[in-house]
Amino acid sequence: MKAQLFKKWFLSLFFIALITALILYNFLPYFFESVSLFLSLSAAEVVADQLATLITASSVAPFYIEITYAPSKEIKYDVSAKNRRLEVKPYYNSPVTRDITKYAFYGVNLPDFSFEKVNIFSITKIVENSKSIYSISASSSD
Amino acid sequence: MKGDITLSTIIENLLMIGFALLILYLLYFSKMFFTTSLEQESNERYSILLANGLISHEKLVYEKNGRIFRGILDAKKLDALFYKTETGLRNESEFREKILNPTFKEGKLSRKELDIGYNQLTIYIYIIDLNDCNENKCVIWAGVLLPIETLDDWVKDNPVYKFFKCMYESFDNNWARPTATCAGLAATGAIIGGLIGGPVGALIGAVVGCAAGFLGNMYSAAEWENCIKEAGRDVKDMYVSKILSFKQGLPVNIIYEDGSIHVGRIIVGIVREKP
Repeated sequence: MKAQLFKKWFLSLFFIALITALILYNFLPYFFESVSLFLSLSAAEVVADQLATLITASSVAPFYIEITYAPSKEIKYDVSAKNRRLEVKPYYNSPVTRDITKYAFYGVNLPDFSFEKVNIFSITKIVENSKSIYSISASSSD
Repeated sequence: MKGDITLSTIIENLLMIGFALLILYLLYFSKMFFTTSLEQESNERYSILLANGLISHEKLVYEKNGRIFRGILDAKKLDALFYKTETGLRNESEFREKILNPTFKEGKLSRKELDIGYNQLTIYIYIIDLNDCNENKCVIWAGVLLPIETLDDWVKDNPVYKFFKCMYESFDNNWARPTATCAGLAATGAIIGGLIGGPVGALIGAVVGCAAGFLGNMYSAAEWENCIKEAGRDVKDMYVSKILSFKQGLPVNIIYEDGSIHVGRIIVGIVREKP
């Protein structure tokens, strides 16, 4: 009788574990892929690098260029630049991520700037009297 | 019948699994943080971007009727801005050694003259005319943009700052050890001071003894040694971008005053200190 009871318990646990494992097997890769993709696209290091690259890349246009960059709809950033060094601090509002500030360099004569809690950037270059003039503006998607 | 698989058995088991997962979450996931790390060849990216910017820059490119010709460099503008050499290119490494030498003054570019470039990095720019470039004659323009040192950089490079920063970071918040030595030496100092100068001497002796004991035992000998070394450390390790060869770089055209157009290359090299 005891052996039979143990067998039934064992079987019930085994099947529940099997179903759970199957669900997790399908769900976990998708979950981690989504999390890693979200974090890699919205990470401060990536945003700092991309933004600095776009600012420098705007110098490539001989006359006029306007570049819009919106790294994330959900995440806001504090962005500041001084002496051609750009700093980005994200606001994740999540217990499993850290709001670490990252930096990158850019190479054009863009005046120092500072924006708080923004996630859309617009970089403009114009040429006036044979002189390149750069500007940047930022806004929030809300 | 007792022992049958009922709905309640399944629910109980599910609850157990849920509970186990909750414990796992509390133990591991709550302590786990997602961080991102970007591995890349920053110097190469900076070089390529800057080279692309330079071949559109008004200080280098050919202009006609207010129109900028991207990729066509004006030899007259290059002459005015860069150090020019026409010696034969017998040995590329010999030329590179000369240009990369920190004492290479002829090619130092003013940031006012050329307002493009990374302020924190050393940038080498070569423009080479590939027409008739041989062992006897080869026209090369070269320039160096040195990093702009700000007050912050000066402070951070100062040995005194580096020493105190290191000491501050080395302190492990262990107050017990220096406090005990402070008390011991304060008592000794008070006795000696008291014998020499009475109550005032005892007080001074106690203060001096405590300070000596406290400071002397705040850091270990290894920490003192480490911070003295850190203060004198000079950053010699440098990252040099790989795109510093004449075989690489961006293709450009160079237009001379007589209207002749030569084929050339622009090479931008980045050198920066290892963090």
